[in-house]
Amino acid sequence: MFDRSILLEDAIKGIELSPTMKKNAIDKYNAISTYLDDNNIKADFYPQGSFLFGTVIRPYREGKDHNYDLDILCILDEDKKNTTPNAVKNSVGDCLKNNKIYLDKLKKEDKNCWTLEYAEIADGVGFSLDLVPSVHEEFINKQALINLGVESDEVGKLCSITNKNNIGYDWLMSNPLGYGKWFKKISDKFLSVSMIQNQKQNLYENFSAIFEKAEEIPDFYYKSNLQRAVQILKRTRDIYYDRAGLKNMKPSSIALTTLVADCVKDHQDLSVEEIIKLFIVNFKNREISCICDSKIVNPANPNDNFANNWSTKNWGLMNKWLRQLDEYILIPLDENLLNSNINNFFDLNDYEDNKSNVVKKHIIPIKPIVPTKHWGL
Amino acid sequence: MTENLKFQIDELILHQPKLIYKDDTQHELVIIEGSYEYNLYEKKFVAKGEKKIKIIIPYSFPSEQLNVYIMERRPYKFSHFFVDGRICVAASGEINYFLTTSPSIEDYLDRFLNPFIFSLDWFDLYNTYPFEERSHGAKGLLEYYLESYNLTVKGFVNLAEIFISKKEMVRSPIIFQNNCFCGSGIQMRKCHGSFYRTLVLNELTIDKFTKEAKTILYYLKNSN
Repeated sequence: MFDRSILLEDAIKGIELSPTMKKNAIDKYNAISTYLDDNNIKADFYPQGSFLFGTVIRPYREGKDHNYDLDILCILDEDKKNTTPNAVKNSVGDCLKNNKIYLDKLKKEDKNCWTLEYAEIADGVGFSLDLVPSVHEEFINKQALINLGVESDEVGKLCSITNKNNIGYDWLMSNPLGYGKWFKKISDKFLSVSMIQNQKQNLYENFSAIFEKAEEIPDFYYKSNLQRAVQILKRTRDIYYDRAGLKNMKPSSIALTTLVADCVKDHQDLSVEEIIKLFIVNFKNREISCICDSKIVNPANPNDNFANNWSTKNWGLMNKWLRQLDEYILIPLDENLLNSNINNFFDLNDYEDNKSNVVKKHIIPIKPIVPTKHWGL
Repeated sequence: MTENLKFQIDELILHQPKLIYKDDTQHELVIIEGSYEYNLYEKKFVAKGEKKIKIIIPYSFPSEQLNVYIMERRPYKFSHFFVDGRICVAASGEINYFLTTSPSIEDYLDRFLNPFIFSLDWFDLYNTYPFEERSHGAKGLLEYYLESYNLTVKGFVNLAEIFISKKEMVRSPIIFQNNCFCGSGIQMRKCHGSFYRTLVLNELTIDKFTKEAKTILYYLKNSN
């Protein structure tokens, strides 16, 4: 009998951020931090988004994998009352532009961030760092979130990021680090001591260039079953919506992560398969507490709705995707059938390389086909 | 049934043991029915399974084309079926060209049925076609010639007129010495000569193309 969770975890191994790449990205943003510091911009740097949650996978668009997108929050040591979003955004941007190395990597200014592109870090794959300049939010706004039910330890690093619009810049309240704390509390329920021991050994053996001693591997390199489940769902979402020509309708990663984590927050020690199954059932029945009146409420800022632009079509499509995931990935009991379904749902690059093995398993040999444009009357 | 056709059917059934055949001598047809097993790979997608099908093969295959019917549920909104359930695998010009290469029945199924089944399975999941689609009707027939032989509409009209207005010239060697119908200014034998030869292989190929050319010209006349 096969272990479905292991097959699913194997399917994302080639598209998740490796420890080497992660270490490299950390080194890169630490170097930027030092450079800004040398130029009198005092700021603290933190990973945010999937980089913080440990759920990064390679983005997939137009049938191809792309370089990793990693988000870095850059909180300037300035009082919000004494500065402007324009000054915050452009002090960082101007400083980067003054350095030839960073200037060459800098892309066109984005709405909330500056993007630096690092090509081909390992095995022909690179990443981009999205630096999000910000300042600490005022105390009154932190208090307002606590009054709305957010845990006090999740508002400590509430901040204001900058938002470029048609006429200039304004502030946007954002709580990425508070969200990260919320996610980690849930995620840790699905990371047992024995899982840490197994992963510790594997990490040390496979990445000895990064880790001098097994005991010195930082906690954030270990993966919980919740993190894995989120990665698996994100990957199958990317493939499904891309092939269906509906990429503009796909649920954002933050919406998906929130739904899955919120769905299992009162459970513990579930396998990857069990987490995904529970999520599919509870989403179908709208039995996830962050779903409220067709909103997906941000647990770290209840004023935020992650389903802000969703129509009934978005909800319907997500139901359809999850229904198919259930039918093709969670239900099949035949390992061969499951393997070919996994290939389809994850767009695996190595299937072609393993074709000779696949052929042996099947009576009907696998055949490539001549793509033919269909015609009709 | 010719020995060659019988041999091809035996080969097919050897590879597809869930199919059975019936020889209809009265109508000079072979009818094959049953489950067609497939395991296809393209665009990093595996289409694998069985489909209930019926294939009607004229004794004259490959001079005349065979027809395939899918005898089970079709994906909602998948449009490439004729009213009688036959599948529309490709533009007729493309099929006719393939038939001039004297394919076996299995060659034909590999070339046209397999991509069609692949598309069915893909469509079932994603509601999109994995390969581009041709326009429906005469427009799609024309697109095949324009894309595959690098022709302009004017070039195609010139070619069609040879078959419709100068029928006596169609197989004349002189036509190969003339400037190519495509408008390149080069002798046809050095330009679209090999394509042209596939159209004039025999009376049947001439007849097939003439009929198709008339349909396309009628469409062009009425769309302008």
